[in-house]
Amino acid sequence: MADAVLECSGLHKVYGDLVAVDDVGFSIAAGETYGLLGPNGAGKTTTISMIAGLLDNDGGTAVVSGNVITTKSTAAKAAIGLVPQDLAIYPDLTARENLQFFGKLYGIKGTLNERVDEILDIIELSDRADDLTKEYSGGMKRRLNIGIGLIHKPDLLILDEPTVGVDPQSRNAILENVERLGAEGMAVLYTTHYMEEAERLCDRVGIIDEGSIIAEGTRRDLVAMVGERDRLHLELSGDASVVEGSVSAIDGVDSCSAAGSALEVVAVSASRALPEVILAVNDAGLDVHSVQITEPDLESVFLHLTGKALRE
Amino acid sequence: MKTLTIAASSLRRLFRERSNIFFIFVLPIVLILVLGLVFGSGFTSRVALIAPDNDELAGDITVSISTSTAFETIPADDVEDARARLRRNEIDAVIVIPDDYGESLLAGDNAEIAYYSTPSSGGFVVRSVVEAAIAEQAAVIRAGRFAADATDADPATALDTAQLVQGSIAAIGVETEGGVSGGSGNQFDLGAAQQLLLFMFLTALTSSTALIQSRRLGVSHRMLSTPTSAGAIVGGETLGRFLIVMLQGVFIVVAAGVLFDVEWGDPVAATLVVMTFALTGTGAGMLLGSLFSSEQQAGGFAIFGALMLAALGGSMVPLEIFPDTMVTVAHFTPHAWGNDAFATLIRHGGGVTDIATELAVLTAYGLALIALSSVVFRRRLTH
Repeated sequence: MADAVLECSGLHKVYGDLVAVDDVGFSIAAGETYGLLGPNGAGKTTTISMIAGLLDNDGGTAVVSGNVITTKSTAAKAAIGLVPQDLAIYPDLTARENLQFFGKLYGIKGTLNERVDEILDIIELSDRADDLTKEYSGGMKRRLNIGIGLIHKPDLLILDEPTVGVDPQSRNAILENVERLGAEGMAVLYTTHYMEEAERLCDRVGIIDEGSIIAEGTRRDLVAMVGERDRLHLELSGDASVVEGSVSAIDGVDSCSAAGSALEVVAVSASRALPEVILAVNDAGLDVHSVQITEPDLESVFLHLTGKALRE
Repeated sequence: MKTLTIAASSLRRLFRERSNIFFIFVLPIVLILVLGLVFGSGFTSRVALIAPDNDELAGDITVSISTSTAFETIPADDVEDARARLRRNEIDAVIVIPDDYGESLLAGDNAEIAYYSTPSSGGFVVRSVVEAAIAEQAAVIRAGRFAADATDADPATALDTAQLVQGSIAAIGVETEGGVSGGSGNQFDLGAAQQLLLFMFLTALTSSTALIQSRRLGVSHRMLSTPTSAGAIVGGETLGRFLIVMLQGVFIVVAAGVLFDVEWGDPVAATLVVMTFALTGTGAGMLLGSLFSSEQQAGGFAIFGALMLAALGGSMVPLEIFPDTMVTVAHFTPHAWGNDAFATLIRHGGGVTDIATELAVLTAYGLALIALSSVVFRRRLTH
């Protein structure tokens, strides 16, 4: 990719006997939003920790704006804005003070106060800028968490599950901000296990599972991998895992995954498979409370590729 | 520059919490005031003195002890009654001069003066006065005995001659040390030094919780994602804690000087003691903050550890009343070295060279702890 802001290849990280990240590679161009989609524990956070220079890798390279990133490479770090999953802000400082603090660490000097005001506007916290952040709601803290990552106008913004635990209104505000940043030319690496967010925001998606990227491409590319499949979401009266095996064995069912009382099924034809699925559920002594049939999406792709649901 | 930014944020966060202002600035001064009033010159030790009548030597030592301004002497007749009063804390010490005191000494035998006290700060002062009086009289008696042996003179005559000679030479001054009363300094001096060291170390250790909070919230890790080296982060956190402890130390020194006329001795030397002790406390606090993972655990350990070390190091009761073994043990704590240094400055008017050993030990403690904590904290950041 000619104008890639981030290029990483062969990233590898091992903890003892556990291979946390194995041969991960992808690139992100300016103005592109790349989604790293995978369930909890898939290796997303370890991957971005290496890209952000927080962890030394055991193999591979990551280059940001032409600078190879390591834990000691200050030039590469200056080009990255990290928004960690944790609310990494001081609760006993105000939003303005938090922004000023990190702005100074990013080396902003003369224009710091103006830049802080700009960010406060962007994250819509200007009217609460001088309140201690411990008095903020969860959504306000999330917005500040993102604002800190933007304070130095980075080339690459890394957002690690930025909407976890956020109310719908704040979540929407965050997603709108990310869309706007991408449109303004910033490269964005966005990790999530919310398929809807990846579908809405990301130009390209890498699906990561057990430390490896198992598929990559645009939403259209990935959905095409599933083919003309339907996805069925059933809510049952009890533990859905008891019917997982019998449903998987039904002719025309590609994959089946249970999570609590929910059953996710990918089938060649929903109308053909559904009666048999309901029969299998009833045979297991359970009732079907609701059925939802959808077009193939990234959730279907993940289910198709791994046999697991994203939220497992 | 980034080191200063991180250090400044530590200070700002500390003073955001109003209760910290009370514990760091107000409480130490209140305690210095209270302890000074309770154990200072406002409080005069009371000593029961039991001595035989018609014994010239006993009379001499009684006069010598009674004229001390360090305590009030109360005549008593019954030893058991006096000891009972001592147990009830009505008096601070009992001195018993035996009935055959003068007779034994003139016969060339030993005589024992019984001394009973409670482990109070007044007790050791009384004891030091008694020991000084005995030493003064013993010198005369030894001279008399020597004269009697050398000239075959009558022991009583030789003793009279020795006493006459003693009167013509410079008298041995009996100076009460310890600041409890009389002597050099005022009633707040040593108590202020002890509280200064106790609170500086307590603040240093409890400030470790803020370091743990930064780590737990992910702020320390986030700092590492900026173009800031791990060394600058460790340096900033260390400097911040050092400044907090120094600020408290300087405040206590100045406030105690202004409010209670505490004489800290040579200002340069006193500043160096505060600085080296702050360095030690900072290292200990950083180590605690790097080793523990929860603020609650570290906070509990910090308070317990700071009070234990203070007690062991002579910041609760003076090192002078410690048994010899405990004095040795006490010097494994930085407090003991700090207290020794202040004792030299306050009581003896010492200077930097007089406390060079104490300063060297405190500096070594500080540098070793900071080096160790830097390694541990850096590992916590980057692994």
